[in-house]
This record gives sequence, structure tokens and C-alpha cells, in this order.
Amino acid sequence: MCGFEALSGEKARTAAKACENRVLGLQLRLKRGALRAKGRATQKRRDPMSIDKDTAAKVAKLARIRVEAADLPALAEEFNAVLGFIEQLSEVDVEGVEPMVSVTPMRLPRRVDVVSDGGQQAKVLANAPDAREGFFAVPKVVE
Amino acid sequence: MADLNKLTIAAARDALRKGDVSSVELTEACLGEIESAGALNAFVHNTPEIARTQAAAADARIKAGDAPDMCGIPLGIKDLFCTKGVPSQAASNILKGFKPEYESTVTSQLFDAGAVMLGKLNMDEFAMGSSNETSAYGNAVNPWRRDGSETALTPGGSSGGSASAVAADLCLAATGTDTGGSIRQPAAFTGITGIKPTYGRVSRWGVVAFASSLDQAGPMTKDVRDAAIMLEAMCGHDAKDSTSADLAVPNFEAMLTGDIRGKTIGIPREHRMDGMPEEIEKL
Repeated sequence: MCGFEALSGEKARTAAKACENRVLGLQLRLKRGALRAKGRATQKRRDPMSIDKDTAAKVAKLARIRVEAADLPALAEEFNAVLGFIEQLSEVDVEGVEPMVSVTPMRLPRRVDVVSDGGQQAKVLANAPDAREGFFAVPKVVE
Repeated sequence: MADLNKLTIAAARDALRKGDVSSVELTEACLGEIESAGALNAFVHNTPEIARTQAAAADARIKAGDAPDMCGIPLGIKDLFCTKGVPSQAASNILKGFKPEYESTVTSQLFDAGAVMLGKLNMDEFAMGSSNETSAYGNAVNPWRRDGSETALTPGGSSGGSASAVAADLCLAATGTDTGGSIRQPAAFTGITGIKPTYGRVSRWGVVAFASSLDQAGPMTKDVRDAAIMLEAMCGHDAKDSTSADLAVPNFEAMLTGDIRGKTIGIPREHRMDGMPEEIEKL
């Protein structure tokens, strides 16, 4: 998943674990919050310590994940590791390199704007935990 | 014929066409092997009824003289693929109980070609892992052991169940998916063949997404010829995947000339990273 094919046994496992935990897990868990806090993060990205524990607290709050105050500095550090990782992209010299959006030269296909599928209400709802009168039924969230 | 489950796709195809063996026999051999290989935790949802029905249909088709290469071949399917009416939960409890009302394009194509589904295979949860240790079903185990040791080893991941099942001859081949190594790394860990096709070659429709601009499904097989045969059946343009490449699919098997003279093999400098064991550095 993260380019550890060349390693073997314990090392690969450790490396894979570290990769999962640090980059993917964290990115996913906190993606929503991080996106909302992106403005601030982008502004300060040039600074090596761009995310402090206040920002980490804000991201956690936006992502609705409870993080104990004692864990915030470590979380901020992990964020900075992720941003630092992404920052490496700016070191690549792309002068004169044509942007590549696909390995095959193709544009997004278009089709005629007509109904092509439908009439499958029962199938759509088949996996719903609760369905009523042809709708998904969800717990009440607004008082 | 003995040890039918150990056949390659190519050998099974030829034997089926000659009438030396039936798909039902191949399928029963695999189902029996799966029964006794619970310790590998490779198959996590068994579908013997579907397998027997498909095998019987395949035998009828072969008798009628209409037999594509994959007809009657028993396969394992990674849990990331949506299979109609069969649990498809990407090794996560979040999708526990989910039985799709539709079939992924890849499995549709394989079944249309007459392939047989033995069951669903273990993997890292949502394909996020490289050791098959993040699965809601528990770890998948590599059938290989170190010399003189009984320590259970990882089959790699995320297609760990697929790799383990093919290496242990529980099926003739399996589907895998690869975002950043999830076919290639477990194939290497278990000594089988796997290929991540060029992006766009294989439809992503009905495959639970990890990173949509990188995900590709591919075959995991016992040798290169089998990979060529199975890949051809998986490939093709699909209007339901907007990034699917509208290109003709060549006969990959016919391209296996065995001659690689004049080819250049590139190894990215970045692959030589810190902490590389010396024996690998020497290669």
C-alpha cells in the first residue's frame, strides 16, 4: 500500500503499520475536521511547526473526536508529519513538464442527459436498517 | 486426476476442454481443500451452493462447445468486490450484513465467462493495510513457514486472503485489488503472481473504493500465463466507470513469447531506502 514491497517480514510489517497509523488512519479519521481547518493550515504551511496544539484541538472538535488535552501535542506533531510529507511535493522541479491527468489521453466521457436507470426502489432500500413508505428511516436528529 | 485444486488455470482449461475433468470435480476439490484450511483464515464467506450451480452450468457450456478460457475455473473473490446476494463487507464491521443487490463489473465479466465463485476472501479492512492484520475477520495467515519455525507469518495485504488462498491451492486463482501495492506485495510474500493493471484497464464499478484515482483490480494467480488469461477476462471498457479506458483488450496470453530481449527494466532510485536488508540491496 505504501511502497514497502521491497522490505520483508517484520520490517515490512512494522513499516506498514507505522504507515497506516500515521498517514492513512489519521488522515481519514480527521479528514473532515482538517478540511475545515484547511484555511489556517495552508496559511501557515511554510512554517515547519505549522500546527500547534490549539489548531489540533480545533480540528479534533470539528471532526467531533474527543482528544484529551494531554494527547494534543502528540496529535499536533502527527499533523505536522503529514503536512511535512505533503510539503515534499513542492520540492519537485516540474519546470517544463506537461501536467498529466491520465496515463491514457482521454477526456471524461459524456452521455445524453436522459434517464438511464431507475425503478429499483425495493433494491435500493433492501439493505436499509429501517425503511418506511419507500424512504430510508433514520433516527430523529432535530428536536 | 489427482490434486485438481493444484492445477493452473491453463492446465484446467485444457483438461476441461478435452473432457478429462469436469468443473464440478474441480470445484469439489477446492471446496474440500477450503474446509481443511480454516487455520489460514483466507476464505471468510463460503458460497458452496453458488459454486456448485455455476460449475454445473459451466460443464453444460463446455459440453456445448461454448467455452471461454475462464469457463469452469473455481475462483476466490476478494471481499472488496460487491457480489449479488453474498456478504460484501470489505472486511469491516461497518458493512456487516450488507448483501449487494448488484454484481461488480469484474465479477459479472468473470461469471459471464463461466468462472465459478467459491467464496469471499479476507483482506485488510477497506483495503487499508499491508499485512492483513486490520480485518474484522481476524488475520489471514501465510501458508509458508520459515525453515524450522512454526511462527504464523503475514501473507501481506491488503489482498492477503487472496494471496494465501492461491498459494495454498484453495482455488485456482483469485481477484485482488491494488491501490499502492495491495496485489503485488502479498503476491510477493506468498510466492504467487499478481499484476496491477494500467489504470483504466479494469472497471472499478462495484468495487468498494479506497483511492478512486489509483484503485485497480487485477488477477492473483499461480503463474504468469494464468495472470494473462484471467486479466483478459477482467479487462474491458465499462460505461459505468467514467475513468474506464475505451481501448480494445488484446489477447494477453498470445503475447507471452518468453522473449524479453531488448527490454529495459527500471527501478526507481527511491526504492533504495534506509534500512534495506543487505541481501536485497545486492540485487
